[in-house]
Amino acid sequence: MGHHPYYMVDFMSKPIAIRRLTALSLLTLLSACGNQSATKDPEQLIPLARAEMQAFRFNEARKLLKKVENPFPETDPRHAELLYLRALSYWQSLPPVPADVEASVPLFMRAAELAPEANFAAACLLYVGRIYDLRDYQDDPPRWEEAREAYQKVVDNFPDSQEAAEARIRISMTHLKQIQDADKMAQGRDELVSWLDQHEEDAMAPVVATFLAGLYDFHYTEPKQALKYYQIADKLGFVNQTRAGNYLWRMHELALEEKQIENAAEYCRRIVEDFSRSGRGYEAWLVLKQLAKDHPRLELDVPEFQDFENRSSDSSDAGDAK
Amino acid sequence: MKKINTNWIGFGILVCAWTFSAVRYAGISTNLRAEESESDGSKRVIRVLHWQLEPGYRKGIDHAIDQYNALPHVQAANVEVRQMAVTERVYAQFINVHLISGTAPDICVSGMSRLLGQGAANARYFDAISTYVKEPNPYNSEEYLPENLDPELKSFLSSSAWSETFSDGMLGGWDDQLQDYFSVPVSSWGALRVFSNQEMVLEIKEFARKAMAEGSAPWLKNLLEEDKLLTVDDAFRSWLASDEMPNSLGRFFFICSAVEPYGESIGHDNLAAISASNYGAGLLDWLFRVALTAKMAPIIDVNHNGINDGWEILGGWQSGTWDFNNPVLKNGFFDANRFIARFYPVGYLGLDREQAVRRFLNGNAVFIGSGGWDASTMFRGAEGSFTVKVLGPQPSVEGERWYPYSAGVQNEAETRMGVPMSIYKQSRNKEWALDFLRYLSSFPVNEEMNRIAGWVPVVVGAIPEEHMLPFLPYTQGIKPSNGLSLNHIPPPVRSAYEQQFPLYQSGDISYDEFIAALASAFTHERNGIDRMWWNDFVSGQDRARSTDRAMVLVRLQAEEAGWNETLLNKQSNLMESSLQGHDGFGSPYRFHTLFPKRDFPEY
Repeated sequence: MGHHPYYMVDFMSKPIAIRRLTALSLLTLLSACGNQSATKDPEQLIPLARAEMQAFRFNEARKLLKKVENPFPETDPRHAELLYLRALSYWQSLPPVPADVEASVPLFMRAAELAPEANFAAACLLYVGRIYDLRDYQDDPPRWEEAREAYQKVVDNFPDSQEAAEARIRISMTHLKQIQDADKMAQGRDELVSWLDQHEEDAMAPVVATFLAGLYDFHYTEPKQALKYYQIADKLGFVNQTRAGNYLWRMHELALEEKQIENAAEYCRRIVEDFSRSGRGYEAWLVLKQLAKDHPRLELDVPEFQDFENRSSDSSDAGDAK
Repeated sequence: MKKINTNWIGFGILVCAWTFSAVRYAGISTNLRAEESESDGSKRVIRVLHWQLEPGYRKGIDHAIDQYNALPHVQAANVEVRQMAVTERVYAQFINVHLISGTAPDICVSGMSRLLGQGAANARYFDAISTYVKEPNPYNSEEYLPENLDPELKSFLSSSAWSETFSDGMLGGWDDQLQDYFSVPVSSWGALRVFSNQEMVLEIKEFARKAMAEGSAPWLKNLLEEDKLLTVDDAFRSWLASDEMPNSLGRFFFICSAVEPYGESIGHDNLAAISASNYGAGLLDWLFRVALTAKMAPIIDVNHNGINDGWEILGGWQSGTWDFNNPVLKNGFFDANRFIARFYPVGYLGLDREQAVRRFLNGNAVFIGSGGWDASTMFRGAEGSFTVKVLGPQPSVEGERWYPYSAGVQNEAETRMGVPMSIYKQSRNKEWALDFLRYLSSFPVNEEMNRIAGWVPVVVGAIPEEHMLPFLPYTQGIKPSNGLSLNHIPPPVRSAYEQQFPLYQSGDISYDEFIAALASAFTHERNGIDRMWWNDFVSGQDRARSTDRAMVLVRLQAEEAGWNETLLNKQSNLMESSLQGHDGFGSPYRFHTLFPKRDFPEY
């Protein structure tokens, strides 16, 4: 075949088209009966499986790995890596097969045990926690005790890994998911507060701060605490810039509630200047103008409201067909 | 006489149909084979698949393609771009089949297909382009930009990241769940608007002026004294005396109200104020939905995220925070909806889009609601007959019937650019596909292509055709998510709303009957609001699982490349999504926060 990415190109252009079509149908049937995509070359197994997974083709990776004997001896690091990838493909294939999901747990555990130095070892334990924690298939109840145990192993055995931060947060979330139990909720919240105090440099810190702000704002209705954590998230930098305008808008509302007029004005100014695409630009500009009027002593700076650059001054008079 | 076996007729038809399709199949295949021969001769054909069959769009794309194919480096590489336009009726099936079978064109407009709306489908079928959008677009370099272009704009376009050169910051190509750019938007159809017949509006204004001078017309008396549509003050008189189009909700409805008596006065009994149909009726919702519901936001938006989510609307009703007797809803939004229905043609729900457009273009209606995608149809269709004027937002002003309930018009600042083109993951010509998309979204090409197409360009500083100017996003107003989308409430109770609302709107049932029917549906044991909580829980768990899968993918990348800033940022974003959804327990979390003492509903 050449470069053509299209279909039915090669086999219908000659006079024997019908025969070819029949042959194609038979071939399709035969290939469907014996679909074995496993490669014979053991060296290629790992890169192929990784490539399939990175393309979101977990089912194909599963087909590739399921029926293959692990060709590497246990002493070879690739043995553990293959176990890890096999477990991953079992767990992530769709639709989920309960037996496969359950079978992935011992594979992850074994891989972590065989290669504790490997860069996937922490992930193995984290994923065991996720399997217990999340609903992978219908009637898959949360097993939070087991999940916490697996997460804790990540924290204990790989304290400096990226996975440790996630595991720590996930442990707190297993408490926060028990919503009717106020003590559990408070335990989860306090754990996150404490983690954030000690890990402000972590990439996950602004995420946790934003989550705590929302928790205090909605569940606990404590505006002061909500504002405090929004301010921490803002200082660290909101990770999702597409939501930053909304967070700043809420911060201005909370700041007004807390009589922090200058802060409220500053949040509005930033929305007008940096996040007008959040849809709050005009409202923020109106608030800012009002604050400047109500508090002349503060000498608030009101920037000009920037309309879209390619807009006409009076669009309703455009559109003339005659 | 020997009887003919009718089975043979059927068989004959079958054979004919088979032969016809075989010949057609062979014909198409031969053409494709010819193209393939070109490929064998090292020619690379890049296909662009889309469903934009509106007048002018294919011409615009063809123009850009011809220019691209003529570029020296493209010719030297023996590359040729071709477009494939497929009707939207079959687009979803077409793209689904080819994505799954690995035979999709190199560039596809993503969307329309449900397959692509599921979880991580974008990552499965299309290439992420985040790496490239941070670099400047080479086709925005000074040598490609017009000489007389503003130097500041020139410098911005040539030095900025590709994503920054889009009017929406390229958010139209962003996948928030996967935290990656997956497509390049190339056109925008702009916002929803009202098209009007200018001459007719002016004649109606003159008719109304006379009626006001005489002071005895019953329609006018009813409108001003019973309906209390607006206050006749100097500003209104001055507007009525001018040739200005309606510029407030009250004035718009004033013209609508005068259409019937005006039609009778000139013997035009079929004249409708608004050419509504089963397609266009909902589009006029745009005129006042956000304005007349946004005052509910402070009591609905309990999690303060700036969006009135379906669970907040229904949960708030369930907890008694609000009800349908709230004046903002009863006297504002629903009253305006019933009022506007007076001006729809009889049986409008049985009419389709084409019939509505034809009614307007034939001069049998004064207004029609639609978007920029219909602009060419309207302007070309009315040419030589009447002048089409496009009405912008219509705010309620003091003295008008709905002014006390209005929070102001909505803005369109969050408008995302459309026609998002993605690069198929299994394309063999990815680098050329990317190159063509850069070319198509460069300032001069995008502007010209969209001017020919009659759409709005997506690049900063690019100017659309004059008649498209009214469709540019309106930025002064309140955020649309302040409003309530009652027709988008969650499915268990949505159907009740969808069934009852038209009955209320057409006057078949009273407001009390309408809200009683809704209350009955909302409290239904099996399919009421409680069911929504459970459904949300199930889908929330699926979403958590899907987010987790995306995090696994990022970690796989990190295992090969190490944790760099991009991957860490992506993982943090995904973690934020996960926590925002309370890791799959968002629905119980929200339910128990609203109802601490109730058990979570299970089905």
